[in-house]
Amino acid sequence: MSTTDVEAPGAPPAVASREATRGRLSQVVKRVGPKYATTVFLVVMFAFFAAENGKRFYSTDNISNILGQSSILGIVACGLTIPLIINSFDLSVGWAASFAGVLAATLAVNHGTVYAIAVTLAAGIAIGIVNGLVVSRLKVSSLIATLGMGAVLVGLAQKVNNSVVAGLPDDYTWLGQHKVGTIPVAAILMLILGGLLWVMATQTPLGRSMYAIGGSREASRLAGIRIGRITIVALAISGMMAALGGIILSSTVASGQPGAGDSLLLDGFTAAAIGTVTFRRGEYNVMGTVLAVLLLTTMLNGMTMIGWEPYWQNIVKGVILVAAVGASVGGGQDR
Amino acid sequence: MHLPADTITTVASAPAEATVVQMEGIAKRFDSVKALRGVDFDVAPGEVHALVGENGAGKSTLIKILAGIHRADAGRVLVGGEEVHLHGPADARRAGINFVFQELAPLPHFTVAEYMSLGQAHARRFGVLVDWRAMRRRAKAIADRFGLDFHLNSQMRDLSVAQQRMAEIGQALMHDARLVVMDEPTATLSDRETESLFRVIRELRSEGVAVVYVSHRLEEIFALADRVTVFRDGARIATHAIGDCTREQLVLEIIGAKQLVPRAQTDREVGEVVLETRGLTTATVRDVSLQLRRGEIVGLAGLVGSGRTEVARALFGLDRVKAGELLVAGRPVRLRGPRDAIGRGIGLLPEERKTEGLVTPMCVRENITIGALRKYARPSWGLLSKRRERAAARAYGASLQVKFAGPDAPITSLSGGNQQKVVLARIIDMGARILLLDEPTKGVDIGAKREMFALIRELAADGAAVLYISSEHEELAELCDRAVVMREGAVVAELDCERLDKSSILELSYGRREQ
Repeated sequence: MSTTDVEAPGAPPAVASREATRGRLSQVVKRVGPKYATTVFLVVMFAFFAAENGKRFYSTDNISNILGQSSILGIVACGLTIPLIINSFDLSVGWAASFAGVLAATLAVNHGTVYAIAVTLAAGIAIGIVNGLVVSRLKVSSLIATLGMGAVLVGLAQKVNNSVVAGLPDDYTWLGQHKVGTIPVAAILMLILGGLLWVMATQTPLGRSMYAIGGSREASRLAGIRIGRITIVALAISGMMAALGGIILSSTVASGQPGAGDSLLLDGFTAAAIGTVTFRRGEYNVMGTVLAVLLLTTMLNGMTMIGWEPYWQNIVKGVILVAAVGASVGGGQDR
Repeated sequence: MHLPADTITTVASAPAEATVVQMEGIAKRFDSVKALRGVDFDVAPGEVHALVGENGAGKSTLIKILAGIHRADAGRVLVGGEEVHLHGPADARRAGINFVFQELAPLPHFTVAEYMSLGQAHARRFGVLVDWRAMRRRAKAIADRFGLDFHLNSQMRDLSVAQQRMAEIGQALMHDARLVVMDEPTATLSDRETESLFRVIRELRSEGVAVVYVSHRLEEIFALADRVTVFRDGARIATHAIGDCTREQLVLEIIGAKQLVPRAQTDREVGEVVLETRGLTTATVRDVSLQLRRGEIVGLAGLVGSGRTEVARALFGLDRVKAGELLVAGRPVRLRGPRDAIGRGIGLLPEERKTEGLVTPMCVRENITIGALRKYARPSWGLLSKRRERAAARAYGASLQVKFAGPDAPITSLSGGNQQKVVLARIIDMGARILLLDEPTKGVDIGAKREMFALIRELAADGAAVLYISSEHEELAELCDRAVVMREGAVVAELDCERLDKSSILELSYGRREQ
């Protein structure tokens, strides 16, 4: 038992000497492997693509490209990681992003960028609050509540605008297209928001309470944690981040397109699942999600670059999702 | 055999070839607690073999090893003289061993017939469809033979606890059992139901089926068993043929060297009433009136299912109060949830440590501070100060004598008693002065129990009011200043200091004596 108990501090000397005879390397791999697997995989992949297509893959342009491509998924995935911490699912994020893109683009054309962004973010928060109220007050499972919300949002998006919104103002497209030096504004935004959510989740009473709810809902309730209120906050955060992702998406492609953000749901969950095998083993965490988004984007970028057909991308994504979840369950807590 | 020879007083064992099940040198430890230390055990066909011992003595662990739920650290299990490796209840069933466990696992929407047919190789129609009519016929035959009195078509959730228990026993009987193991089967049964269970067991015995019967109730054992084995502190103390031993002898063996010490006279100062209920009624308890004073330890006794936990739940705002009054510090209050209770200085140590007490993925420090996180946030940005949290965890560790490797040790690395102290530390950290302790010594070894008692006395001396719920009557008699006894959702008696002893609690709990 003690050999698998990686967190046990100060292994007794007898165990240490046995380890030495069995080979230190395999022990080291066992110990740090799961925690840094994602990082190691990222490095290995970089090396692989660099070897296949060195100059182009490594170019500043391409790195900046990867960062830019990561930012939308990164923002949405960080958002949906928060409800996952409390064991709630927000399945509405993809449709919320699509809805937000159409709404913001439409408003930007008619009322200006600042107004459009402010109203759309508020709408994202409102979507999350409604999700949270349905889950906490009506006791509907989060899977069902947010799935239903998704359908509602598809309809709402059609009501707002059922065609491509074009002719967006320049200050609107700045958000998704401008770069500071070689780094896209959107990527900076992702890193800042990811950092803030990471601090919230790991360093504040709110975040600690969320992990407690995820660990044991009943024990948390008996410890006086406001589960209902925190559920609402968590879903409001994911709603807002989904809306922001949708805004940046429409800004990047300079148009509001119905259904543009739908695929963010699957990709976001894939990233969050991969994230659970990083840093806090077996637990959803924002840092792991960000790293996983970079990994996924790099992989897709590299695959495109060395000429793999696009359909491979989806196949590989699906396999990785299942593999990551399998690894996080199998490699997580012993019991 | 790992024990010095003189601790074994009598050994009456069946010849090896005649045993249904034989267990040799079984050892098992959980974390730091030795649950079993090299135990031998056997049971012969057509024999009722009783297991007795205090909670935590090792009976349930032995049974769970036989069921393949736990794996023994050492020793072997022989069924019909051949060594077997059991990896789960299904393996045990295949070997002809069936179990009726302490905790019920009912499937509320199943009918009795369906429930009894669980785990069966179903009779088939056309090779694929389950032949429910045949299954029901079979279940009916069993029910008739053993006189189980309920409709096979009723749903499990509509049955009383006792009937669910009988259905579970019925399920075990559906298999061609060579051995049926029953862990405290009568704990929730009435006298009449107990009688019909005994009839079933005698019927089984006459058909050559072996029965292992775990019970605290010695009168049942003398009425039923052929042999009895006593466990204490994880070791087998003795095995007797039932005719060769007396009740007094068994009691002495069960409690061991530990004398029935008179309660230490309390020098605590009992103060004003801090918590009072007047005719408190919820969905499960009725007309409960009790008082709790500052510095007082009041026992809440009764059998499992008598409503003790439900009283605590109502006092903590978890169950809705339908009638009656709850007064805290003399003022009537309505608690809409745990937060209201916490805000009034009430703390609950829940019965189910693993699911309701601990947040298992978290460390000791996080488990202690989770109830009062605000205290550990820096005023500037509201970020948590882990330094301050660790200091608090160490301070509680010292004052409650919690043994842990460090504040950041995983909570699962602690023994049961220490885990319980961590939950207690959390409640104190939340500012509770009225402590509702629901079975705080459940699954805790004897040494840790002593420490827990000392701790509770200290807390009371410090001015806390303690409501102490326990199924262990000896503990109640030892620790409490007075005790309230419940039966079937109502208070049946209040025992003051002079009248508080084990047998009074027992008799009142079982309803064999009226106040």
